[in-house]
Amino acid sequence: MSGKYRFVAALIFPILCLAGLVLWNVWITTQGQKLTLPIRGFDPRDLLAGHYLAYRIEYGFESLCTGSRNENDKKTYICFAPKKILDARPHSSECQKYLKGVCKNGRFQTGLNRFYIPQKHARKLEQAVVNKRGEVILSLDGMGGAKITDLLIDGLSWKDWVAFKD
Amino acid sequence: MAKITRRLNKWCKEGLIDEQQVIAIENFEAGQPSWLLRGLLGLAVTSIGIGVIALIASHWEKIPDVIMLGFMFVILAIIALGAWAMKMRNNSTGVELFIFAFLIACLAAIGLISQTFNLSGRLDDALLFWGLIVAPITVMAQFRLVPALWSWVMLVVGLLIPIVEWMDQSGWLDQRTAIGLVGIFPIATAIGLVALNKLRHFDNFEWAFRAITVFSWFSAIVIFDISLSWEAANPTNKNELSSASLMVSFGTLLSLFVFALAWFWEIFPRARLILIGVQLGIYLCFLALACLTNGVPYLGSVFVILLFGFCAADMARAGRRGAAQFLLVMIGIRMLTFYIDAFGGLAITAVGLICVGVLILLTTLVWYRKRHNVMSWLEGVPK
Repeated sequence: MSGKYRFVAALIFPILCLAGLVLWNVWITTQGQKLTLPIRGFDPRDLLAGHYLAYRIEYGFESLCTGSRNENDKKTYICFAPKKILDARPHSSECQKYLKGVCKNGRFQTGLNRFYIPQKHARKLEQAVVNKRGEVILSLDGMGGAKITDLLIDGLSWKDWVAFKD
Repeated sequence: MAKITRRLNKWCKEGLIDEQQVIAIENFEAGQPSWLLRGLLGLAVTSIGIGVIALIASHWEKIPDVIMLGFMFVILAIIALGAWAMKMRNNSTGVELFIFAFLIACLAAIGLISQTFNLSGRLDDALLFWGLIVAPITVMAQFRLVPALWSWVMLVVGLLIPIVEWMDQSGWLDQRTAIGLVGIFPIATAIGLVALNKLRHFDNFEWAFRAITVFSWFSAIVIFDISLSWEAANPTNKNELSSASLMVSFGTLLSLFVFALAWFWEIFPRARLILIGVQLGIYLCFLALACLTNGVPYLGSVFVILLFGFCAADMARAGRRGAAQFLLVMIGIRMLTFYIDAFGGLAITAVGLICVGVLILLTTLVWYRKRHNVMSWLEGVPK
């Protein structure tokens, strides 16, 4: 490959990678199974991507990440229908709505802990989440991963809720 | 440019060169790419890039996701086309600026994608992903800035942060192992430096690795010195010593590995390699003492003087007089701080400072008179 073609390939490569990242996220967001869960949280800031709401999802499993499950950052799967906690990836016949995470310091960590919001609405949304009025909609990819697709306050999408409040 | 013109005029007055030569040199230097121009343009691109990132981070509520992401890809494509156009015109400064802008735009794009899809990754994960996808275009850069920034960022997010996190999770991270890690870092970067030197096609990356190796080597020496000379009495239990011993052993193995690589690949002439080997040996002893002891008064200054002395001789032999002289000044400064550390009382310090001042004055005078002989001897030693 000549130098010019290599140069073009080197410029196109990152664009293709970023496009792949976008398509992968679009696929999970649109095709995944939806699940709505309550949250609790606070409001920090990310230098790269702006203002976001950080929260903890209430998965609704009382014995999650307790006892022996909480040792050595153990990989754990939670099945939402039927509700159970598993140590290994479930078969499709066993469970179709499941989420993969790691038990660490007594918490089930999935990386699903932030939702980006405009700075001017941060205070209102933060207050609503602190008052336990918030929920998130998860889109499960069927392989244990998930994406957050929307933030609900009092059952309304946050944009509608903010518009209603204003 | 003004500095070189002053020097040229001075040399012309002294009859060393004639006026035609002065004009020829000035014309040649005027045609060289200006680092000031490149620096200012780079600053402008950085400022615009950070502005775009901040804009995306703060003001996106009313723009639909599809338009925002589409706009991002259009910007990326425009910058890539700009780089391509500059490449076609053989405008190396233009290519470099567009590559730099492209790198910043890719980072901004990752931020925007994270925001759009609420991805929860950390900043260092985002930087690692960014580093991997822009690696091919970074290799194509012709000047030092882009490869250097890329290398330094990747060393931190791809090597240093994962190691520190791993040590922290394993319960290994304490004051002694942290000193060990600081000491091992320049040895690890030296492996990259030797490998890049062998490959020969990555001069800019080699410069970046040399810069970080030298900087981290200096930093490590300062930290060893502080740790040895000023560390408070700190009883050590066996567990702390065992992890610190492992760090020292690992550092020694890495040093042997890098030295063997340099020896078999003949990176430097054998005589210089032996001199570097001696410095490496002293450095490892210094590392071991700093990691494993509770502070040995005045030993730090002995090691600093030894290391900088050998390094100054090495620099002089390599024809780098400026670096050699800088190291000699550093030795002088360390001797002065050693004196203040050794004799704390005000009256004794005052007398001591006068004595040290006289000593430095005499040493400087002797050095000034004999410097040509010493430097000629060092530079003339068979290499």
